[in-house]
Order: sequence, then C-alpha cells, then structure tokens
Amino acid sequence: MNIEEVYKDLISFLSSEYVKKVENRQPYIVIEVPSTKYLSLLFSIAKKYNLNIGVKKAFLHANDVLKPHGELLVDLRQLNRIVNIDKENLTVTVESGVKFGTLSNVLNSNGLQLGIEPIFSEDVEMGEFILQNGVGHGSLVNGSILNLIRDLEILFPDGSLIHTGFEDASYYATGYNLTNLFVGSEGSLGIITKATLDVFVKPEKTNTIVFSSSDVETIFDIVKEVSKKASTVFSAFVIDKAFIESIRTRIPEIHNEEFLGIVRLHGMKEIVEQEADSMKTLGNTIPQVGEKLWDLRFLSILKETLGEIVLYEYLVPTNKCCEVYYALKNFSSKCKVKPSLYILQIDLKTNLVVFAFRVEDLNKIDHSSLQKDIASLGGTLYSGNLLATTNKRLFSKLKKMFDPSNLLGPKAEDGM
Amino acid sequence: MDNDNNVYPLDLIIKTLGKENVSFNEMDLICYMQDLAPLPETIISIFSTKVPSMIVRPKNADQISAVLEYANKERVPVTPRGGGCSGMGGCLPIDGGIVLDMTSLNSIISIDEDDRTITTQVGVTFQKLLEKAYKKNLKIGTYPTSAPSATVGGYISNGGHAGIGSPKYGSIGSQIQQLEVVLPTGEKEVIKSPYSDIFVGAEGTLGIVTEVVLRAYQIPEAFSVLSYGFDNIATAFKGLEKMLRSGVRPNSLTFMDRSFLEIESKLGLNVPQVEIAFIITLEGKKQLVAEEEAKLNHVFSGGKSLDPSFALEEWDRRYKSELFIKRSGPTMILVEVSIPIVKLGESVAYLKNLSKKLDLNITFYGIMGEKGSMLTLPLILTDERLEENFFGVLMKALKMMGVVINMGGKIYTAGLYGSPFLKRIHGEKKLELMKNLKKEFDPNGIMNPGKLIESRISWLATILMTEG
Repeated sequence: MNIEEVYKDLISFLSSEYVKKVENRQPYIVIEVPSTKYLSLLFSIAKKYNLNIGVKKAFLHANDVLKPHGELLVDLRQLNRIVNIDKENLTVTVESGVKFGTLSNVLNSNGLQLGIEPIFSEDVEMGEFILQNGVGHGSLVNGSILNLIRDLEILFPDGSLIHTGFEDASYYATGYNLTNLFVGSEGSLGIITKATLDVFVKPEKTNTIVFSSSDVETIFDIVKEVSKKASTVFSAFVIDKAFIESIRTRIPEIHNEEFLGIVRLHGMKEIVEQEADSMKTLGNTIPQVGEKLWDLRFLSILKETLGEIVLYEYLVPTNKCCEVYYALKNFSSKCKVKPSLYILQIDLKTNLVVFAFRVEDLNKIDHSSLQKDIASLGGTLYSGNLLATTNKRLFSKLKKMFDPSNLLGPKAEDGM
Repeated sequence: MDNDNNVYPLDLIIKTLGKENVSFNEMDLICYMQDLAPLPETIISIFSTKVPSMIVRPKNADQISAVLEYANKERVPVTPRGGGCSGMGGCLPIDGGIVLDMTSLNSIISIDEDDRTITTQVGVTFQKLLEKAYKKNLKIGTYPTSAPSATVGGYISNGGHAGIGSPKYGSIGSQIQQLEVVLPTGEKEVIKSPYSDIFVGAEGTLGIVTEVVLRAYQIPEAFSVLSYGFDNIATAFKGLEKMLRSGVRPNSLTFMDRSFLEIESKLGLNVPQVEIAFIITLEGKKQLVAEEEAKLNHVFSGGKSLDPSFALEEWDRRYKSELFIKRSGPTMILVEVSIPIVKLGESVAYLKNLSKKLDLNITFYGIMGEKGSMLTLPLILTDERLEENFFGVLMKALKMMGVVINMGGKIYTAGLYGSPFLKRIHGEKKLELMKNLKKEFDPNGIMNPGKLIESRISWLATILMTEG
C-alpha cells in the first residue's frame, strides 16, 4: 500500500486539515469527516486501495494496542449536532460525534438526564459508546446502552443509509430487530451516524454517599451490600489512592484515604433520604463531599495528573474484584508503573474494572501477562472484545451481508 | 444420520423423534390449520392453502436439527407453532409441509437463585414457568396475558414487547441473556445478547429458538392493584401521558373501554359505569409502592379511584379477559396495534368512529408496553357460523390496521394477515435489507413461508390503506 497515494486521493476531496498521516504505525491515516457525505467518499477510496476502516475512539483502549483495526481511522467528532430533544416522548436524537458530557449538560438544562453515562463522559462520543454496547453510571438501573436505543442511522459501505428503527416516536414494530445488530458490532457492519435514545426526567432527589476505608475488601463489601439492598442506587463505584490524588486539591475534606466507595442515589425524595440514612451505618462515611465527588466522577480528570492515558477495562465477577486488585498491584510493582484504579458496579454480578496507565508507560507493560492474570480470575476485556464472544457463524453471515468487501474493521476474520 | 448424503431421510426422522411424536393423522393435520382466529374459506383459496403433510413434536434441539436438515435438503416448508395464541395467522402452515409443534420442548432446565437466571426449553408455558420460579422466590420480568397457554418461544418469536411487567422490566428481548437456536440448515448455535435479538420477533422465519437463558427478578416486597375510571377517554389518556413523565413505572397497566365493561356486565360481573377504566399494578419496596400510588392519584385526578374489589377481580381475570369477551362473539378477531401513548387519544377516537362506519361490533382493550407504547387491541366480535361474509369482516379488521399505520401506529405481530403492511411500516430499503437477511439465514426459504416480511398479498395493503 502506498500511503502517499491514498493521502493524495483523500485530500483531493477533503481539506488537508481533516486528513492526518500517522508515522509508521497503524492506523496510517486519520480522517476527520465534516459530514456524512464524506464518509461515502471515504468508502470508495478504501475500496479502491483495499483498505480497512476503523472508527476512532476518545481513549486508547487496551485492545486497540493489542490488536489495532483499520489502516484508515475515521474521526466522527465533527458530526456533533444534537438534532432534537423530544420532551413529549422523552427521547433525544444526536449525531454520532456528540460527546456525552456536552449532551448531559444540555439535557440537564432541559430538566432531563441520560440513563447511562460513560465513566469518561466528557470525552467519549455517542457512536463509539454504542459500538461497544457501553455500560457506565446508571447501568445498575438501566443495563447497557442497548436498552436505551430507539433508532440508529447507519451508513453502509455501499453508501446506502438506513434507519434501523423509526424516526417518529414509535419504538417497536413487527420485523427483524436490526438495531441490536449494530450495537456492539464495534463498527464492523456499518458506521453509526445518528442515534435516538431514551432520556429521563431528572429525579426528585439525589444524594451521594462517600465511604472510606484503608482496605479494599471492606470497601467492596460496603458497595456490594448497598447495591443489593437499596432500591434507589443509580451508581456505585470504588476509586483508589491514585485517583483520589488527582481530585484531592479540589476536595480538601479528603485526606489520605486509601479507597473511597461512592454511591449515588436518585429517586423519590423520602425514599432517597431514608435509604441514605440507613446506609450511613454500613461504614465510615465522609460527610459533605458527595456532590463535589460526583461532579468529578469521570476518568478524564486523570489526564490532569497523568497526562494522556491508556485504559485497560475488564468485566470482572463481583466476587473476584479484590483478587483482581491484588493481581494488578503485583503487576504494577513488577512493571514499575503506577496505574489508577476505578471499579464500577454494573449489575449485581459484574463490575467494570478500569486500570488507567500513562501512555508513556505503555512500553513497560507486559500486555499478555496482564491479560493472562485477569483472565485467570474470570475477567474479560470490555472494549474491542465483543466480537470475540459473538457466535462466529452468525457474525460471518452478517459481515457478508452488510460489508461484503470487508472494508470495515474489525475484519470478518478478526471477529472469529 | 444417513452416511451417504449426511441428511436424515423421513423414516429416520420418525425413528429419531419416536412414532408417537410424528403424526400424519388427517384430523390432527386439519386442527393445526387454525390459531386463535378461524381461517376463512376465502383465505384458504387466496393462498391456495395446503393441508400440512405431518405434525412433529420434538423434545429437544437435536431432534429439531434432524427435522430441519431433512426439510432443508428436501425443500419442505416448516411452520413452527407454540401455544397458537395469536390471531394473526403466524403459525398457519399455508404451504403445507411440516408443522413443528414446540409444546413438547417443555423442560425447565435450571432456576438459579444466586445468579437470578432461568434456563428453559421454549415450549414451556409462562404459567408453568412462573409457578416454578415463585417457588424459588423469583419472578419473570415480562410475560403475556395469555400465560396459561402461551409458550416462552411463541412470545419471544412474536417480539414480547407488551405484557405484564413490560412497562417496568422492558421487553422479553431485554431479559434474554442467551438463546440456543437451530438454523434452517440444522446447525445448532448458541447466541448471546445483543445478537440473539435478531431471533426475537422473527416469527420463526430465521430459525427455531429452542432454549433460552432469561434474567429473573426477586419477588417484590410489596405489590398493589389499583383502578381508575374516567367519563372522558381523552382525559384518561392525557393522564397516561402525565404518568410517563412522573417517573412512575407500573408493573402493568391495562385499559378497557365502556363496551368491554358492558360485555363483562352482561356476563354477570360487577363493573363500574365509566367510559374507560385502567387497571394498574405496582411492585417494589413498600415505600416505593406507597409513593407511586400517591403520585398516580395525583396524575389521574381527572378520574376517580374505582372500587378496590373491581381492580382485584380484573387482576385475577388477567389471563382470561380477552377470552372472556370472546364468549359473546363467539368469534373474535384481534387487531393488535402498538400506538405511542401520546397518540393514543386521537387514534382510539378515530378507530371508534371508523368501526361505526364499518358496522363492526367492536370493543377496546389495551396493554401497556415498554417505552411509552400501548398495545391496543380493538377486539372485533362476530360469529363465523352466521356471518355471511366473514371474509369481509376480516378485511374490515385489516382496514383498521391500515388506518392505525397511517396515523403513526405499528403492527405488533405480522404473521400472515399483517404481512402486507411491512413495506409501509419499514420502507422499501429496510424491508429489502430484512429480505436479504432472511435469504442469508434461510436460502431455501423453508422457514415459516409467507409470513412477516414475505407477504403473498402485498397488493392488499394499497387497498386497505386508502381512505374511505
């Protein structure tokens, strides 16, 4: 492949400010498309040179490091319009490049809120979150983003555009459920250009309780107990010392805590108040810091102390979280890196465990040994791994149908 | 298995399933040519409907693999059938061939209290499954009002978007963790969510769902049944819109109009004198239920709380309501349409007027689905034995479906009769995509032919959707 030739072709229809070459590693060219019509042109160039296209993500994920997809990487950040907020039907329609943080602010000012927020909400875009069937704050109530999607607009490699659902308020009609084929497809079947999601009226009352402990077992036990018993828990997560350090300057009430367990309650006023009171007996709490901590709940804040970060995200059985923590601790001291740990309960059985490393420490990390350690504890990669668990015969049928030229990454063989 | 061509010959199928599970008996074959609604003679001739050649009652996925492998090789149509509870003709074997009666595939494999999951074969009825789950202090999130006869597989294959539990727990699809499916070629596959959803609502046209892992829920601490009555339908439906925005998520909500209540009254039941009544169930923690009750009283202040005994009796009759009404038919044609609640007032008023113009004996019943939708069931009562033009009544019912679609509603289950509307609902491009998907899964077109996306009477939609 002659990258120069491809680059020339690309800048013949797109200004060079939108097309960036990457030196000596995949992806070789990153293309920021100003509108959907340029995606079709991009497909034709990919086909001409037999290149594979991946969708750019806000963060570098472990799997992107281990198995990069696509010689060309499409960046959808320019597709960032909030198309419609339908207060009557409680839905919002957005373009794929809209960031969750931006959307959340706009919805809040309209008395609404999202049902699920990624843990790196300020950076992550709608399209990439859907492609990995994202989970986040709110998953304890609403599951994964799949449960909130009403319609997707998809652009196929042949240039055709379809809506998998309906553009009106309707949600369901008899026929095949096309929407869910694209959720979690990692971009391998078509490019999501627009999405319509359910939104919710802001709850009557919210409250954030912060627990502290010097040992990881205690903090997990508290979070687990709370999630199981309280009916108004919207989110429950644990942060470690490294994360605490990155927010300490903004919350002076927090001192040398090793671990914090943060529980966000929402719902009807009296129930939230009652559950918050009964919860406080479960462990040491730090008063008056809940709302401040909730505002600083996103991983993006780590960039202020760590610089650019790479995320290792795993879905880990709840009863193995402590062991995963110790495995990480050993691994970190062996590799001489200092990751930050963030553990979010997504349902009663599963946690999303995130290790955030500095990008510059990447070369110190023995990826395969880390993978092996976590896998031995029942952990599976969260991002970029959905196709690996998908039924191979089914995926190959879908790939053949939607992307017969194998233009979109991951390629058919990557999913098998 | 036949070593020469790797395909089961017919006599081997009989041997594999056991003689008692394969029927060629003429009476048996004819009995399987009907679902909840009768099949008019005119329909039989329009579709050149054939009598099926055999009924098979498999007990496991391997037996289904054997049947499908044979059918695929010999190009024999296969029509799956669960409890036969729909009235849309989805399980009618219009091309003859094999009817796959799934009701013997009824083992509940495991109910895991710690994991809160249920693994079961799909021929089991919801009532049986609910009873078993309750014994382990668990419940199923969403199930149909036809639970005593509806099979898990039938509900999954018909979409399972409305029923008891759907406003609170979502559709049955959102509770599925994994499906075991036999593809038309006979290959057995295990498919996890979200890809498993391609088989949810596919009406058995892509493959046969044989086993499911369903999420289960703890029995709630508190449960409450409420009812409200209104003298004005528009006020009632405006109240529903308010409820959607109030944050209250009922476990179930059904509505019944005056004509429905009048029939119940004639049948000796004690019912209120109102234009429309809502029966609502709430469940969860004690305090949540109490607060939701208070909120509903506020939201429905345009109506009145009805006698609690009426609410409880209707709840007790929840599995029988529609069939109860059927007695005064005795033939009942169901028009199953899903209408967004924000359009419900306008749509029901229009349909009521239209039914007068069409001279239909109609009554309205509704079950709330997920995401602010209402499965609305105009129930058309007639008597196929006395009706000179029963086919005409059926066409009027389809006309009503066309009108709802024009107003932004959608068909809940297509089956045979609703299939002409698919193009109008999804548009040409999306329907084409669905047809390609069907071809990819079922290249020989053996699975439930003539249903869902494969209408044989698509010309009918144009006539039925024309005003006047």
